[in-house]
Amino acid sequence: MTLRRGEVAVIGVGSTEQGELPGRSADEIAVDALRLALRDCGLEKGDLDGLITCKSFGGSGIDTDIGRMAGINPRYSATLDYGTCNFSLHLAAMAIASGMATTIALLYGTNQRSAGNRFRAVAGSGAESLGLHGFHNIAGQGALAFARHAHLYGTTQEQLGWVSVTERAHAQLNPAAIFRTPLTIEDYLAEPYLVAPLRRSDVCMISDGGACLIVTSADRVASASTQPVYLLAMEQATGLRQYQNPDNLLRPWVSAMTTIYASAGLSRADVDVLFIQDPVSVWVCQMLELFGFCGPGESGPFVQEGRIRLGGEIPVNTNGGQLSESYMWGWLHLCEAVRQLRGECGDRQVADATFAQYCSTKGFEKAATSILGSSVPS
Amino acid sequence: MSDEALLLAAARLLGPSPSIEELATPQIRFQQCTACGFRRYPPAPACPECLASESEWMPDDGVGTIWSYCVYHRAFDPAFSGAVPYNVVLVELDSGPRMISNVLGIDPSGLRIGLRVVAWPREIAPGRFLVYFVPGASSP
Repeated sequence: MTLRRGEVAVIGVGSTEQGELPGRSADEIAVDALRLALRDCGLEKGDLDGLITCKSFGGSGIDTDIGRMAGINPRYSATLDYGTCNFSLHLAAMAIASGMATTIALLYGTNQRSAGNRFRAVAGSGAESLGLHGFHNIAGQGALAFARHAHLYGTTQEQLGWVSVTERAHAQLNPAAIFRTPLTIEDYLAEPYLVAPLRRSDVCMISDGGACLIVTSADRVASASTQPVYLLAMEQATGLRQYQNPDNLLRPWVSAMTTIYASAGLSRADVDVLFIQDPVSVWVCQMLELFGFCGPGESGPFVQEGRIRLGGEIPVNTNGGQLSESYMWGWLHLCEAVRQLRGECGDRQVADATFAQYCSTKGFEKAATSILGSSVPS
Repeated sequence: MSDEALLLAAARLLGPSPSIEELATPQIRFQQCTACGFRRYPPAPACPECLASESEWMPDDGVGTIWSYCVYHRAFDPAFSGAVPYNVVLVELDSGPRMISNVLGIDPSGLRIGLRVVAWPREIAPGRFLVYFVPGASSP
């Protein structure tokens, strides 16, 4: 079965306050986001016949728990144990296209800042001894990946720094962003190393918050009070062999997803605004290259020259990303994509944004991408 | 970095029962598929190349190359607070396996991608060895 271009649309979006939300459980925060998303599109919870939740820190985020809290009996429900919202959106599209449900809420909530997640988890999976070698935090894998990129292509730390500096500049235009103080390239280079060659600003924060998208079939978009944002195409790829893949930290298998442009009925140059899940700044460089926005090894100069800034060739993470807006496992990137395509982004609005792409990953094992549009190419 | 602090951190975090990558002797060895000859790491019940379940443990010379490296300036786990700054490397062994480990006996400024290294299993607790690396082609 092929998903018809525009067969599924996002009609509702909700995001809670981000930062520190003490005294709230992750599931409560997720239900807050659900309430906001329903209000956004003018639907009632009884209009939902699907629920797709996302596991979060501390074992929260299970559909059976959240469904009870929200008081709903949807026909279809599921929990994905990896986030980024992209995988959730794809599962929702498949459920709708197959007739399992018509209108699905995608939910994520986390209280990991208040609950004291220190991101001590070992970096990566597959081997039990990683922690014994001190290979903790996603920054470890990011640092290895960037050091390799620098070795192969001569990418400098200053060039990498422009990812964080650019996203901070975008966050300054986003009232919901947590980190809004100015960050210059000099500030960046003056930061001490966290895991060399990476610095603090290369790695995402730990924050609390919730997000929800409401997705339905194209023939039902009129039931919502909002302008629909259509899913034009979706692709996934994996590198489940992990370290047995050559150069796995460079994720070469991601480039298989460049077929998405033809599926969406457009070319890469038609993408007006790009979202890249960014727990570490290095991911932005990797995806720019793997999806062909620049050539292999050219992401350093590309970001340094301002091409990913608002007003540049391809604005990236206009919300400030995980590096500056909020952690949220990539969920706010899709919220922002929807708002950009609705033209709701105020000072950070990309003029005439019609098509948006979101690229996300689950560790160094899985990846997903979606293209959304305010209209459907014929 | 003090190598001793790094080994001490590993000793503090060692679980009550050996992880699958630990060795019982200082001899580094890998499972090799008896059907297709693929040498795999980490240990696994089936060959990731041909799915055959039979394998034998083969000694390895442990010689390889640094694919990439990084230097931790923060101890995300307090066990490593006495070890920072310490390196973590991804080594590609000439025989195929890729391993995350640390290079001992080297200043961070001496690390580089492409550096030839050799495995040096160290006894972290009685009868429990972890694989570390040192520069060169033969271990101390």
